[in-house]
Amino acid sequence: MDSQKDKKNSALAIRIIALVFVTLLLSFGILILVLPKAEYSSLEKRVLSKHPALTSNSVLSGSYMEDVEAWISDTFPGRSLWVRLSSGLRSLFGISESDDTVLSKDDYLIERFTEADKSEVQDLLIRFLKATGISSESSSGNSSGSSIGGSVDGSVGGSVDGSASDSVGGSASILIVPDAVGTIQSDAELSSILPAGFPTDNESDWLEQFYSSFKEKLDAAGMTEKVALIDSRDALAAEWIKGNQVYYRTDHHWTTKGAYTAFSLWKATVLPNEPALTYEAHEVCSSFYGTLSARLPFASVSDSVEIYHSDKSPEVLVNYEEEDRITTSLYSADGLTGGDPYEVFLGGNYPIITIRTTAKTDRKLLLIKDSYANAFIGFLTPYYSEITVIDPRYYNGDLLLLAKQGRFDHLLILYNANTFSEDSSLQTVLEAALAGKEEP
Amino acid sequence: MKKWMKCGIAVILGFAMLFVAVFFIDTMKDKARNVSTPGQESYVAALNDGDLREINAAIRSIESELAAEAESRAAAESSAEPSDGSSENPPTESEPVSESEPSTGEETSSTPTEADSTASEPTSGNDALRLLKLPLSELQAFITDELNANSITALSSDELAEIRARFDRTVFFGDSMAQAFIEYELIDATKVVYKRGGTIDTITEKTSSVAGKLPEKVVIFTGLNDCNHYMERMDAYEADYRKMLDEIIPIVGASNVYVLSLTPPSNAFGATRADLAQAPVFDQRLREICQSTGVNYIDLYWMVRQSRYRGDGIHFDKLFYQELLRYLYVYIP
Repeated sequence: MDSQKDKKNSALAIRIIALVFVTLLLSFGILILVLPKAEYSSLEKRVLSKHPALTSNSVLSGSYMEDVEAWISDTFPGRSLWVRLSSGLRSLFGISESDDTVLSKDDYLIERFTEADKSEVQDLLIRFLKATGISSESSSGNSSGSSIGGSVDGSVGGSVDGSASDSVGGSASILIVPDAVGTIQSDAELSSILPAGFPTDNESDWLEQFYSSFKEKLDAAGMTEKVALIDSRDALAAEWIKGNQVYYRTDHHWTTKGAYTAFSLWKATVLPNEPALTYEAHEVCSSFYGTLSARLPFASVSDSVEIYHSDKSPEVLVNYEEEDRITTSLYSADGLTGGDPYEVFLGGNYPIITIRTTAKTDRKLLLIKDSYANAFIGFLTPYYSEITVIDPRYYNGDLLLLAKQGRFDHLLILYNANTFSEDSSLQTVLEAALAGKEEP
Repeated sequence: MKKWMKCGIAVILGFAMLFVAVFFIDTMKDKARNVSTPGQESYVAALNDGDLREINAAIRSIESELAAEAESRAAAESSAEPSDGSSENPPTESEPVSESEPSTGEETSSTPTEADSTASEPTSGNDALRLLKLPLSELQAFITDELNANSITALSSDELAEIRARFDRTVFFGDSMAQAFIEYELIDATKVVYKRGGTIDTITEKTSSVAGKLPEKVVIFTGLNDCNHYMERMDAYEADYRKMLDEIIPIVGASNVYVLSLTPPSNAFGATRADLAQAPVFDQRLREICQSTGVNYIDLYWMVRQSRYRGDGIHFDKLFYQELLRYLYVYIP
């Protein structure tokens, strides 16, 4: 009797378990189809995949299935919860590596670097710089024939009646900033904090190679004197070793201290004779958890976000051109309280921003950048009357016409190495700008 | 129930409780993340308290100061240099053409038959900006000849850069007539505020966008939508246009507002539309409004040629706009 009852109970239990499994499978399947899809993950601070278009090419190449998999992964019901649970549990059990992020010995969340061949971008940059008029043989254009490292200081720029093609008449600089992993890899003392076996490419070596090959190309094009390549690895490593925090522990960005360190190096090269300002640090967020914290939430240590302010900083008008909005500060209160405090700098990323200042100069700067530059721009305002800021990830205009129209004295390209390596938007914008416009 | 089932259920329940605990702890931690103190928020908010117009005025004052310094430096340098008689004569100052009766838009010479006329190669080398340095009357004569001959000199990249630099602080405002500057990639989109298909009353809703760009000059270019919208309501047209100017003038001052005349429809299209054929009447009223408000009126009737219309008989092609920009470059100081 008992064994019969046991058998009945076992059979019932098996049926219940089977029913639960089938119900779960069907439910998730239906939920995936009917629930509204989020486009952005505030937890991971990234745009989520969209449903791919079904084309014969995409099916035959296999990319459609891969894209569908990415879409399902990104829009799975309760995704944020599953991600947090997964990361949290792994942290609890001492599993420090999550996706492409590792916890270093100093409680930094270090993002992996993936190198890419940017030789095509180098070639495009040289063609672009030539098309804007920057070359060793260009006429004075705006500034008084100044070259990098030479007497740039004090020259009154402004348009000179003459060749309008020399609209970026002075010079250019390229500043590809190492991420935390690159700075660590560049220094023997720092490299010990990175866990052994972390599957990352060597960003420091990649930067070395990038600058070296770019310098050769500039030499061949006769543009070395007009274009400065600025390597900030040593400067950032030195500050780190001294105990200064140059990167956020849980975010892929540099701190304001890191930005200032690189700025000092850049200024010494491009504006050596301009006086340096003294800044005071103001903390605007004491509990900053950045983009990397979602990957290892229980391993995350908070940081503070600071603004550097000087009494001698000029007043500014910041025109968000495509948003029809003008503000009187580089720092955004909405950005600070919007979930990502790093967006206190400029309120985030926009296609084109024009900053006009009360600095007593008519020097003008064209800045092509990613989000690293947002914390850097505040240091530039005392030295330029106008700064046009372009983010190629969002900009759809004609960059070459803009460069020629603006009569800039200097062009600065500022990226962090990871974005520069992975992102293709700069290449796309340069190709579009140069299409059919270069003189033979 | 068998023991293994009980163990399995216990393990599943155990993990479920662990998940809930992890979720709860993480949610609680989340509330404390990325939060600024009221003092910190106030500090950043205070940085945004600057007066937009005061700062703009300060910037313009510094620009004028620097420009004056540059001029006196240049004057001092040139007076220090020995004269060798080889310096180029500076271009004579151009004056606005006196207003004349709008023409009927008829061609004055041979009739071009093709919509796409011959575009001449842009000037190059040392002459790249020659046309932009002509006195206004000479440029007008040049453009007239080109339009009559149906042979337009396309803008060179140097001319375009020069024109765009000149209009860097100018906003082009209107309907699809203004939008065409963007379409033809002549003026950067950030310098144009438009409402496609708009009439004066709806276009006026966008004056705040014009103000937001803190321009130094505003060029208003509207088309024939008003001829239909305000047909037999000329007084309403005038009232609404004045209302729009009342919002634009305080931004830059009346002397820095430039209203481009209405242009008639093509002969073929105008023959089918009695409302659009009233364009000259509306334009006459527009001229009177400009005179009484002190804004600048720029007549474009002399530029109109049947060959320059696009297929719709209302809008003009890229070559027309190129000539228009040349004209505006010289006309507007």
